[in-house]
Amino acid sequence: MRSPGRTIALGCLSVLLSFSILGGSLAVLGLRSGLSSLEERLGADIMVVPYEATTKSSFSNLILQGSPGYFYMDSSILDEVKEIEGVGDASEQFFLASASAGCCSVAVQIIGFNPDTDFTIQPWISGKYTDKLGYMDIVAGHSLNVSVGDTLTFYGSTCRVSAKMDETGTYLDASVYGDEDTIKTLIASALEKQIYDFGDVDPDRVVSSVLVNVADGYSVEDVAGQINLYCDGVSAVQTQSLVSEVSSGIGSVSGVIGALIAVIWALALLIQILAFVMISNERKKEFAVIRLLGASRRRLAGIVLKEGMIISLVGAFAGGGISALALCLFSGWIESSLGLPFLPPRGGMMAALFVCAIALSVLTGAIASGVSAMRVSRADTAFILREK
Amino acid sequence: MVKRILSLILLIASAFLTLGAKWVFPACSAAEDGSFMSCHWAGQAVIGAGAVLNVLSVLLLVFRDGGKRCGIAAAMVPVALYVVLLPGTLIPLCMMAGMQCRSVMRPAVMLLGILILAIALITAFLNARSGDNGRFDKSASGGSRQTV
Repeated sequence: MRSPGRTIALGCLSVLLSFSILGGSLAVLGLRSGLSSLEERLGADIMVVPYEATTKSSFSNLILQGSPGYFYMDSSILDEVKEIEGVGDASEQFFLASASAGCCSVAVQIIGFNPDTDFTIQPWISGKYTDKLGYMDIVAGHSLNVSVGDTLTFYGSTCRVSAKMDETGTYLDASVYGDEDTIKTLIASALEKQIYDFGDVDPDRVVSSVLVNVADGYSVEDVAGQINLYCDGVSAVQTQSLVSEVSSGIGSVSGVIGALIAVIWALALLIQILAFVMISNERKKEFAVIRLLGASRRRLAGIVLKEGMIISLVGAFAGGGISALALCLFSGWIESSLGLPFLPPRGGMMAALFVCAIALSVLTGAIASGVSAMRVSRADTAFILREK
Repeated sequence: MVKRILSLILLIASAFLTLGAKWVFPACSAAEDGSFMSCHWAGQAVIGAGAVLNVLSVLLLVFRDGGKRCGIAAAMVPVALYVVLLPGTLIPLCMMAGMQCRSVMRPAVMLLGILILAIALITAFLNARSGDNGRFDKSASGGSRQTV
């Protein structure tokens, strides 16, 4: 007797199982990839920023979520930092935040760097753009909806997009990059329009941060301590501590997701076993007739097993498909909601996870229907047919 | 019964698309000067297309004839495809990936659009089979009829 409702209910269980397995795996891997990407892109051992910047949550938001922000200190800090023992490479960066108003095409983080000393942004850009970045040329992060050759206006000054970067899952995706001269022009334009107040700092002599790589043989912690001790008004942030904070956050989230997947899998298996056993109980006379018609016990068990696997396979495809689609479409929202770097797997890795999720769902369905198939194959046909 | 369930799912999904584009996953709000960005109009277009899908879903539930239901379901397919293409492809959205229109509205509209498209295709196929064979689904027609 056909029962579409029963089949749909079993299929829905399989949908839920593959959805949760694939969705959970993609979420965990996306967070871990985002963290590796952040670690790679931060590039420096120490970030020296104005002390006031670290007291605000906007600093971590800038680094972790790419929320536009800016802070400044006098450029003499660069020379002070270079004099500290243990400092290897040092390079300054300039932050500027555009606005979502008439003056600017889009509200983004604008990051300027010194091409002569930079060791974090240029190695990343060089994969896509090998020429020297010209005056008023900018490189756009992946999240910006622009193409090479487009122009963007910031504070009345027009910049040309020279390259667009690959996705990193970090604050870099929501930023544009220009050389020191470009940023100083934009700062001057912003000053002219009286949009920013630089306080006591001379706008012609500002930097936002100094990135430091520690020389061989020196400990990062010691050098950061020295900078905090001898340089006034700044805070030396060890980038590893930023990454560690994110890492422990990701660890907790991964643990919760893993536990949820395990619970859902166990529940789905139990419910499927119960469902298949109940169904086989309902259909025992049907199976008895099939036996009477000449089917062996093994063949009957095979029919039950195949039915279960087909239902599981269809449900697994549907669940896996919905999960992959939802995660890819909502990856931006997931990243901003979690406040953590997020880089979901693409291409081959996604396909491999999809296949694994489906295989696991089908295996679960096979185990559940296998239990039922065993019971069915052992039933006494004559006894069943004599029952009222 | 399966066809009824699918028609009901189409109606619920279409209603969620229409109401959601207004209240649950709307586009970005107006700019400081009161003007609307292009994503606002993408949202308005989605609401309009969603209303069309709602009407078609209701007709799908009302009509009993397999051939008519097949036609209505088939008509929902291009409308659903249009809904999927509206935000971002036919009407540009904001530049930043973090903006509401790109991070919430577009994915939600695309997901619902694809779901409606898939179910409409399945519904059209199921009703085409019953229409061609001259057999009528008992549950759809409320009684059984046979044509020779």
